[in-house]
Amino acid sequence: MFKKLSFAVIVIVFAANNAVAQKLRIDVQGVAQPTPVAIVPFGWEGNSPAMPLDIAEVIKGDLRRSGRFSPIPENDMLQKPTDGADVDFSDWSILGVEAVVVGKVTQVGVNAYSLRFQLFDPFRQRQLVGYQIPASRGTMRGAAHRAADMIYEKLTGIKGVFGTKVAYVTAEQQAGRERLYSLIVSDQDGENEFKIMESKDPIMSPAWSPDSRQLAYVSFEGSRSSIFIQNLRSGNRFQVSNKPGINGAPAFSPNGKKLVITLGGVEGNPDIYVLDITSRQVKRLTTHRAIDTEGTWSPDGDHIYFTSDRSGGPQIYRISANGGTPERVTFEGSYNARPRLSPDGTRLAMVHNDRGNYRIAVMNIERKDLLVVSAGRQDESPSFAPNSDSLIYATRQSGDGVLETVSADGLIRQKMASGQGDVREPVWSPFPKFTK
Amino acid sequence: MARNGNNFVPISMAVVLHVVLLSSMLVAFDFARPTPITPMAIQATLVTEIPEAPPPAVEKQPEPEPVIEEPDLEPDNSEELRKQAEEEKRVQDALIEKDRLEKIRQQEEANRKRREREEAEREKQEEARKERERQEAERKRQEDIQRQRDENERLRKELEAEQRAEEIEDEERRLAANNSPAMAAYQYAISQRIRRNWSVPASASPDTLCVVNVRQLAGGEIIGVNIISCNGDDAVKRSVEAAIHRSSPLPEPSDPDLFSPILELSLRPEQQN
Amino acid sequence: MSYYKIFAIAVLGALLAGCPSTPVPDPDPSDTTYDGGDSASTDGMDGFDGQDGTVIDDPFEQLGTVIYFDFDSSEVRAADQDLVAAHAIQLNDESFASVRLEGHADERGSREYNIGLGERRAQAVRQMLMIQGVKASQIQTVSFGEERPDAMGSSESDYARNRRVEIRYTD
Repeated sequence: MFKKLSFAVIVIVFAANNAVAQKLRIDVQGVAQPTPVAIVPFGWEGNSPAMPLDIAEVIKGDLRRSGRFSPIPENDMLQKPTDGADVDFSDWSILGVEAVVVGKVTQVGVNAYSLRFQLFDPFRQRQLVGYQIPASRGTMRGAAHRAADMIYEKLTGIKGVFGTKVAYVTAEQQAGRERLYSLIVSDQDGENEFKIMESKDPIMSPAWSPDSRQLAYVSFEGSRSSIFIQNLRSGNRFQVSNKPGINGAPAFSPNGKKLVITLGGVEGNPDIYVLDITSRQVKRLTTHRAIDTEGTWSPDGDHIYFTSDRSGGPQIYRISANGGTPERVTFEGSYNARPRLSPDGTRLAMVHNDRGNYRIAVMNIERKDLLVVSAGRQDESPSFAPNSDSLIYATRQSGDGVLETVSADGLIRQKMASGQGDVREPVWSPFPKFTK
Repeated sequence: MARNGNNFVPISMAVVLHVVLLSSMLVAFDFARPTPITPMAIQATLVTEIPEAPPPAVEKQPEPEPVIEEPDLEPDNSEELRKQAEEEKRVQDALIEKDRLEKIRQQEEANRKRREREEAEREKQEEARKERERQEAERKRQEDIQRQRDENERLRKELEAEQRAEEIEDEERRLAANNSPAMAAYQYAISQRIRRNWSVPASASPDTLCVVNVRQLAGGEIIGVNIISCNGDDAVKRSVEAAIHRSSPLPEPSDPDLFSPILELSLRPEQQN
Repeated sequence: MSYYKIFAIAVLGALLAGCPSTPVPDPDPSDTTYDGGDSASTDGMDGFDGQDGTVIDDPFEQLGTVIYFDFDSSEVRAADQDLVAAHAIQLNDESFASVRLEGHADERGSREYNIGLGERRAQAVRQMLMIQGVKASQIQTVSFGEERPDAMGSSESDYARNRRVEIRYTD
């Protein structure tokens, strides 16, 4: 009996071993691609035939522009539920989308609506986030951006920037040789353009204050350069620097109390200065006869980075915000200019000459490695989004200046719809510090 | 032949020893048999043995004083003398009898004691024998068990050898198939299908690695996806699951023998230079 | 140092043009063998025999107001130096006249750095004027960098047209 039992056990063990040994091993190397998601057209319940705003389109645009997501076309969808309870997960897992958003807008008053959305994981078959946002016609777009922010944050762990703004300069050709320059503020998707200043003389170098309420910029009105700070709400502005020669390249300090600026003086030697906004006192930081310009503050307020050609060609240097000896920061390539630090302080974006083309490059400050993230010939003016996850910059398309966003890893680029004429010098606002 | 001669002496010694051991066991059996009691009945010898055990002096008869009389008169006390002599003889006989009885008593005592000793001895011997029998029985039982085990072991080894031979055959066949271009093509087709369907999220780092067990039916239909290990965040895990589900049904191999119902996929981002 | 060389050549040019009445400072002795002076030119110079007479200026010719520069350079080219000199003369003649030198750069590279390049070019012209006696108070510089291109395209010839200093009289 014992003999028979042991024999049987041995046979079973051997059979099982054979079954396991059959596993076929396969290696897969994947490439970074935007994640496929489904944003189902929102449902609508209200007095008018159509909802005030196509919420799904706004959310799709936001997610697509971030470079991390690829919303599938509506035609591919097998079902179009507007309520989470109606979602059939098998219909979505077949399509291979990793997230499904369904939602609905309901009118609850004359100018009162409720925007409701739910985000699902079709493979684990559960809801990731669900929310209801009250809105009026005027705030509906902002509500859609808030929904996009929540969806983005849930899927990536990164704070969304879809409620932020960008400022930029446009130049429109007028009769003859005249041009009309405008300073514009719009939503980060190009909507809601608002002109805050226009001039027949050039406008340059807009810069956001840390509280998003003001813009500093250079104006050439009167055929000379001077620096203004303008309040966005009121439109009031005041001149903060009007010295002989160059007044240029303003940038706010992290606490908003100072500007780093470039002054050239009568002798025309551009140098870095720190201006106290209230007192208008300036403190000189550089004295070299080279061109020292394009100053910008590090997020911790300790250093000022700037462009200098003291070594023969433009390179990026940094100096203690209290003054001292500048140290060189870029060593790769013959042309590195217009430094801008990411808000998280880890990366430095710049204009970099890459084999004859002027492109945007991003350098990891610790690792000091340089990554070229744009592909044009005349790319310039890089600016980080406040979540440090994307950049916006100016490029050329068929001779016209246009704006482009790129993901921080340089992999996904998106053209941004923007105003008329030649568009240049985009700057991304900080996260809004007040609710609008 | 020389070898046999070398072994002969030790073998015979061993045999002799065994015989000795066994016979000693038999002899031991003999010792255990009870001896019958035979009291000693020769009284005459008893008298000569008196000096051994001094009799208990309960009553000491005064020794008759030798009558010291003057020889002149010869009174007729021959009767008295005869009586005295008879008395003395009686006393002596009595003493002798006493002693004899005493001796018998002692002898019986000694016998009794000896019998007890012998009884105890016998019991002890009996116990010893029983013990040896028990041990012998136990030893035999263990031998049986061991024999059984050895038998099982032998069987098992036989079976193992058979299985191993089969396995080697299988393995050789499998290796031939694995290294075959057909297998490589099959693996490549699956790998490419999944790679195309995998959107690696930005949160993946060069070290990200996910190992997934996938069950498929004969036509390539995926019926089970199980993430064994994955050092990426939720976005990475979601992307891996989605990539695999999207790839169903998987491509089929050119040779059905190459099909495997279980796949172990290792997914990692393509390494940039 | 090179300004003196420029001057010597300018002087030579002026003399060759036959304007002996123009007052010019003495040439750098380390330079050419030409020793200045009046019309007679017999000391080892070829090809200038028989140069008698004087040239009469076209009274309707306007003075050019644009000076062009080579790529990545703020050096006034040889061809433009007499033009600068002519403006210097004008400004010296009328001490209340003043100019604004507007420096420009082509569109390549970052904007504020190009402001610096345009300023360098304006400053080069300013220095040249001042060396020729023009007062600092008569000169204002402004740089427009790449913000006011003359040519809108992106070809090399467009770039060449944009690398310039424009001289504007502001009185």
